Amino acid sequence: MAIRIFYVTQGSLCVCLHGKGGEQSLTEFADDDQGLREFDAYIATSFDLPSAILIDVIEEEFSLDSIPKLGMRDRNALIRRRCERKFRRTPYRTSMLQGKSPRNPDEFTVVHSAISNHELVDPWLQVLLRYEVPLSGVYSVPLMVPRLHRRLFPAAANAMFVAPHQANKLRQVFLANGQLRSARLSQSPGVDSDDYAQFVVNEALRSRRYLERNRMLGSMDPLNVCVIADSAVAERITASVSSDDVNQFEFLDPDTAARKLGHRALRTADRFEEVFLTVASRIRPKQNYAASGENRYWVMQKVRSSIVGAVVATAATCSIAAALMLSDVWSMRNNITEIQSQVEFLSATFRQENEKFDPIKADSHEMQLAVDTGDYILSNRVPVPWIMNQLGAVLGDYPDVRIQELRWAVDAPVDENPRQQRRGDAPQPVPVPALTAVSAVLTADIEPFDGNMRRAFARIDELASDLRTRTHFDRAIAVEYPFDASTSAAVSGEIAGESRENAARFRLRVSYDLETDNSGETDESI
Amino acid sequence: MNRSDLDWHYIRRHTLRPSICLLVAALTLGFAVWTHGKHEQLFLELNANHEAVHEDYAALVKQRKIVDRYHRRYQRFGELGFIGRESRLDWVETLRITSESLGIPRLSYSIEPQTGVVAPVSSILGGENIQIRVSRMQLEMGLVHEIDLLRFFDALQQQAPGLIKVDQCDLAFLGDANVSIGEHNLSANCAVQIFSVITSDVDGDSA
Repeated sequence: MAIRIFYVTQGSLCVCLHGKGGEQSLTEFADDDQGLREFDAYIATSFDLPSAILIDVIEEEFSLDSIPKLGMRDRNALIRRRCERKFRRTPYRTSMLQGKSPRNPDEFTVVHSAISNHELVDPWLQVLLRYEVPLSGVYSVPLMVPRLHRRLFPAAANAMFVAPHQANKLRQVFLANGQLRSARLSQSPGVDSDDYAQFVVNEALRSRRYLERNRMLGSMDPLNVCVIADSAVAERITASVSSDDVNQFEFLDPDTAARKLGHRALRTADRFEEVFLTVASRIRPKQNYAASGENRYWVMQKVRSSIVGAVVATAATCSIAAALMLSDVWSMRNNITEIQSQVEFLSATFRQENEKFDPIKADSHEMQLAVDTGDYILSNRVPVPWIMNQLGAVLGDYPDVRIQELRWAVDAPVDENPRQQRRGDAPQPVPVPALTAVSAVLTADIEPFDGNMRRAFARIDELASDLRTRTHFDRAIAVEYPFDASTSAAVSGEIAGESRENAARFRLRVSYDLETDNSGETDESI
Repeated sequence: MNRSDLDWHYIRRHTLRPSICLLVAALTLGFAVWTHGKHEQLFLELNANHEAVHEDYAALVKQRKIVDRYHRRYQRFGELGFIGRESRLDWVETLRITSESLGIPRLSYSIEPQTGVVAPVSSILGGENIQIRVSRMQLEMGLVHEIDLLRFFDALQQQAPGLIKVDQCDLAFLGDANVSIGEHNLSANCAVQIFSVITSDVDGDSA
């Protein structure tokens, strides 16, 4: 962001605009009515630019003071009061607390400074305040020197910074332990002048005498005079220094110093104030003469910028949040559309499928249970033809065997825990037991019977054997022969005579165990 | 400089446009929040509905598979009269017609009251509406030839409604001396169970 520095000197105001690249553009206004009018017109066109005043005048005074050890509030009040007392006539004053006094540790050293001739600044400042120019502060060159000196020269207990200003002035700033104590701006010959070197040496001696007189420097204390001068001038100054001079001179090339402080290049070697303008545009100096609200528009502009920044940030946050939410809404809308189409499709399919089921009221599980029950009953019944065919297939080969009685039944496991039925109760559901076996009892006669019991017995055994081997009945036993041949039984009969029986009756039991043979041949498919 | 030195007129300058921007952004955010909430609610409702429809559809597909598997046989059982109410009138008529057509000299029957049956198979997914019934019937017949017994039960299964299960049969062959033309030469005594199933397809009472 560009910042504008108003460089106030004894007879003019120079406007210095600093852009991003560090370039400067200068416009000068003379300290007279014409210059003020022109300045007024200029400011009217660009009153909103952030600005600062940098004062570089002779009438800047410094006063060294000591204050007792106090609390912060009392100390500040005391400093303010003493500064007001010392510089009552000017509003452009400030004080610098510089730590404990080297002579008395219970005291603090304070340097008060002020622009003693406020009329040098007032006309310009009135214009600026009228146009509500945001002024960050009223700074002065000496107030900026301690920071710059640290970066340019090695530290020294007592140092005098000397630099050519405004082509024909010499700026001298005295620093004790790196802190500002005093400063002077004096008329000087030009840098290229032959007298310049001697002038610098003499001014250094004059300043030393002044410092010694004001007890800021001891007579035996060394003083490093740090001069901004090119090598040619430095040589001349060194040549001008007498052998009994207690001051020690150090030199730094103006361009080197400018580069060290971030300034590209000096236009002329005798205008080192350009470096101060550059530094002031980049770093807001700590010390400031704007103690009476001269910078209120700058403060208000900062407040406004903060408000606008907060508003813009909030608006941006709201916009981003809104964008994210609307994006989410867009995504949800797509999902909703997709879901709706799926629901419609499923509903339509559901309706169509249901319409197909419509003639059948029974649900699938009823259907399954009914069919499975039917299948169970079918698989657990013995078709009548099956039994008849099984027996008939064998009995056809026995024409002498005449069937008298055939009893067959299916066997099922007996319910071990039958439910007790009480009188008056609704009938309890009965189980359908699984078929375990089929058994039949066959009562037949061998006819005609010639009375040969042995042959009859053999015939009966042969029939039983055939029933076992040629049918599915796995058991076939004769349970009753024409007579009981066991020795424990009483037997009687007629061997010859008219009453001799013409038939030999016997009984066979056959059975088919379904639990061991699940060939399924008894099942009847529907 | 203190707080009272602040000139709020000065500070307010150039803040109109950012304020309008903030207002617009806030309104947009409000609208976005409102729309988002509305769509979210709609989305949740639709999603729940979709899941429900999907579950219904999955159940329907499963039901459909069962129906595809059992439908034909269910219909066949229906044609047999197994699915439906037992009709005593039909039974008696069938017995009469069958005995006449087969020339069975003697036929008597006794049918006990119908009782419920414990479902012999179980269904995990329901089928509580189904009722399985059984009637026990005792048949006493005089037959000319044993083949008539086979024909009789064959005709009975085809014409009488329901699924029959013959549990026991006693056949007694009469002696040649007692037989005359047109008379039976063997008697049969059989125990029969008549099964029927009542499903949702069967409604109303029938004789």
